[in-house]
Amino acid sequence: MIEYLLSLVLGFTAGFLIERLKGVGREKEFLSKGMTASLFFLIFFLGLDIGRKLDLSEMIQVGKLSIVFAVMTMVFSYTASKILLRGFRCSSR
Amino acid sequence: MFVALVLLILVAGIAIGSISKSLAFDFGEYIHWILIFFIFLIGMDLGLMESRMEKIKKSWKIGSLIAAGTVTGSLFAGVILHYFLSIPLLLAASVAAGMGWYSLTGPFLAKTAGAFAGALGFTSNFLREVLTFIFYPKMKDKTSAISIGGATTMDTTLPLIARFSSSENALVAFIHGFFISALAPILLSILSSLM
Repeated sequence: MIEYLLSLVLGFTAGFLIERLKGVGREKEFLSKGMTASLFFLIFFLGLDIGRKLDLSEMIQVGKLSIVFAVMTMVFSYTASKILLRGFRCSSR
Repeated sequence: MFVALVLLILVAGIAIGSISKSLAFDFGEYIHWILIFFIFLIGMDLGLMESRMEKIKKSWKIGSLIAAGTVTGSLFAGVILHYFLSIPLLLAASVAAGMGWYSLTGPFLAKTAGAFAGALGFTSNFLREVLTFIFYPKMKDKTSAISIGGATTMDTTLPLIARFSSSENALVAFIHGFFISALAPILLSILSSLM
């Protein structure tokens, strides 16, 4: 977790310095391309990692129950966050 | 089109990964370095923004609020599932408390609550991550939708959120994932001690 935070801070500093020294030019375009390329690589390696770790027989055994759990936690998390954000936006007006 | 491409790459990765189980490569290491590079780019994007400090302050508030929603919603879902599926309350709450962190929840529950709990904890949270890849790009409210990714919004689903949302939301997602990653082990420890 520390290295992720450090990376974020370093990136922020680099961006801040670039903006101060020469203004925003083609950097945004470079960032967009870099992010898309990283996304593709990341998803591919993530898939490889999942494929290697996944136990198919285990997955089948608890499959239906897992889908219900995953969907329900996602739906309730989304709803609770939406309510909290709406409250925050109303109170800050 | 882009979502289809993302899913195709994910499925291809899983297929290749499952047929190359005997290979000794550690893909986790590649993921780690690509993520560090990616987070660096997000930081740079934020550094290039105008009125950046205001946006960062606002992102902290929103990120912590969404994290509160994720914890509340996940635990509430666990309670609801306990009633509807007749699963022990603490087991249902523990599986839900993993909040997408399958590599922690699976082994943790297997050790503290048995093999079935471990398998359920692993697959439920694993599916939460996969379903985030499928559903996040289709959600209308991209800020609230960060919550569906749970702990993964700090790492694996962060590039997806950055690509389909804004760099401000990417920062919110990172902060949200940071809070959830800190809270999930604490919640799991508390719940398992009550079992």
